[in-house]
Amino acid sequence: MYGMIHKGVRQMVIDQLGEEAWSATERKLGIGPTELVTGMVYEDSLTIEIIAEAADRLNLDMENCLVEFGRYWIKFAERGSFASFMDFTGQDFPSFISNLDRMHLAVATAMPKAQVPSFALIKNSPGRMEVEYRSDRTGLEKFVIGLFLGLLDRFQRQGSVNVIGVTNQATIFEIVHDHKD
Amino acid sequence: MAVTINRDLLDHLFPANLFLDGNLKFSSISSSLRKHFPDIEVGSSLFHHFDMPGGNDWAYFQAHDGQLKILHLTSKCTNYKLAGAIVPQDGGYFLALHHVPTEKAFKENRFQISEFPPGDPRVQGLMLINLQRALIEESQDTALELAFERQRSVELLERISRIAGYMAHDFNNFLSIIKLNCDRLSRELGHDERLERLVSIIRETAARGSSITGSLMKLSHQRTDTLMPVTIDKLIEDNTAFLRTIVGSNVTLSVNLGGGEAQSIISHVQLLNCLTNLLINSRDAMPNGGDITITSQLRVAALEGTTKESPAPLREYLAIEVADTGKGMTDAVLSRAFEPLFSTKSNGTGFGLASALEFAREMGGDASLDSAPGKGARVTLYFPTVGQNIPGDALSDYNRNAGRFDREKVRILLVEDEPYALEALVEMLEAEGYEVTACETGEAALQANERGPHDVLLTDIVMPGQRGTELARLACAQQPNLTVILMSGYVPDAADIMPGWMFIRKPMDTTELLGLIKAASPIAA
Repeated sequence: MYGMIHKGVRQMVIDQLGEEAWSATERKLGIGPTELVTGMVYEDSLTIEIIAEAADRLNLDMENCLVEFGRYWIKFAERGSFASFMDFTGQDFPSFISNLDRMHLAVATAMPKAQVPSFALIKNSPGRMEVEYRSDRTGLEKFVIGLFLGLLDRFQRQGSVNVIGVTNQATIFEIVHDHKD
Repeated sequence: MAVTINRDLLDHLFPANLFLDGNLKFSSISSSLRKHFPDIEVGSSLFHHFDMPGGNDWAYFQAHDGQLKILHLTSKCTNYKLAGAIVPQDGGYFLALHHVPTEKAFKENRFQISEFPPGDPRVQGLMLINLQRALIEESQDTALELAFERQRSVELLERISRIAGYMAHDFNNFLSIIKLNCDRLSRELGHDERLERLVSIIRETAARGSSITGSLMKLSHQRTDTLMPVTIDKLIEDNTAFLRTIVGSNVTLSVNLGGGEAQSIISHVQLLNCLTNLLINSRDAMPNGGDITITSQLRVAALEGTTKESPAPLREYLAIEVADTGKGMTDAVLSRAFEPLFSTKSNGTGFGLASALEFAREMGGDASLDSAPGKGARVTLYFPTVGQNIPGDALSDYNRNAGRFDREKVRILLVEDEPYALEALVEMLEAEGYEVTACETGEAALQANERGPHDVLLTDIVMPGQRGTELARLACAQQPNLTVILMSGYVPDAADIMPGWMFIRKPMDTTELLGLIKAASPIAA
């Protein structure tokens, strides 16, 4: 995965446990700034190793850590260099969700080695959405749940996210939220 | 053909649309435009808020020639731009416009995807630009972070290096005391074999400790070699077989030594390294074989700082030339040949010539290079000699000073802040027949030297108060013919050691130290 993910994990650990906890993580995994270059694509195994170590330090199991990290990821992206990219994608919850795929398409164009997922808004009614998620990677559904929860936070919505369908190719997420539009 | 579409769909297809009445006054504007122009009121004039390029033209709106009318508008207040078409509508006009992203609007992050019509190819472009900007910003942050990290690593390494140096210094002092006192014990014990064996065990253990401190000193980039008078011709002669192995079988190495017994105060290890580098350069310049000649001879020259107004003093030097019959160098290469990291070889480091020059200068000499395409290259190293070997008038203080004292009358000003080491050294030197003035500080040593001159200053470097190098400078100012021997397990700044000064690393071996003092007085020897 690309280095921005690693930077996000680092910031989450620093925010919650302090600089020293991250330094200890770096020492344990034998990584440093060269593993935190935003535009670099690293082996997935390294990313998983970093997240697993963060989970251990945050006293979370891997699944919960992925949810928490997905949620944190939105905060991390919106306060850094990618803030305007996020704003351009959408300034309200439904439009952001409906433009998620275009956002990822831009990322894939800019960083060809990044295997980005695709998102399709397949149902959209007031207060309820169904989003189809496809990815070459497996096991990141909890992270996607965290991302949607993070987006609900971003647009000051209350809601819940659940997986309502799984096929070989895709996972369907249901997002239920308080309707404000 | 007329198509009826509702307002929502219109806003979706033309997010930046607006309606004007026949007098070009706003009758309605889309929500997207409202966001960007909250001050526009229904009833206000188009040209109150916007300009057309080339001047505001009412007639352009009114002409009904059936042609598609393209419109460009620029906001009077914000330089914001819109473009699209004019559609006449019920005595007024429908303006089907779209946003033209300007640098300013983009910078202010005014847009979002929903302000562009579906399928608008500009959206992907804008997303990429947005992403590119973010990535550039991230790259800058990363570059700073990496630079900071590198700096931190360098600082950490320097700290470790300094700590290693101080540790080496302290251990070397202790080991020095142990070794010197082992020598005292040996002298006191006479021929008691059992006790002599115990002393040997202590001495050997100290020697093993010394090899550990040697590693610490290397970690702290310390000088570990001895600076002493070396008969360079003899050194080259003794190592000729080794030097021949460097040049290989298809290169002939000739050695013509003419320096005789002349000595220079240098590190013999570094001189051999230097010659090795020069021979490798020459060998690599002759891939198909050739000849290399090492020549030494005494020369009188004024090398440094010579100007018409203040000519440098003439000195005697031992010049060592390494000449080859290789392809030679162009003027461009020649002018850069001594630059560190400059190399014309694909596998070259660019350190060979640079380090030769640095070494020669550190020893008080210099280096020069002559070459031309097809005419080979000749590197000459100059090292100041001890004493005067070429008959004639005295050349300078430097050459005049050395070799003037008699061993029986040699007066040593000894400075050492470790009392046990001082005691052992005094006893050993006096036992060897030297006249010793012992001091524990540089300040006391200067006062002692004022009271009566000395032949040799033998001083530790790292001491509380005045450092040994500073003491040596001041003592030489008091007494220019003083021979300086520095002894230390740690040299905080190697550049402080002046050419012509000798250096011995602690823990010292008695024999080596006595040899150095003896070498410093060749006539007496």
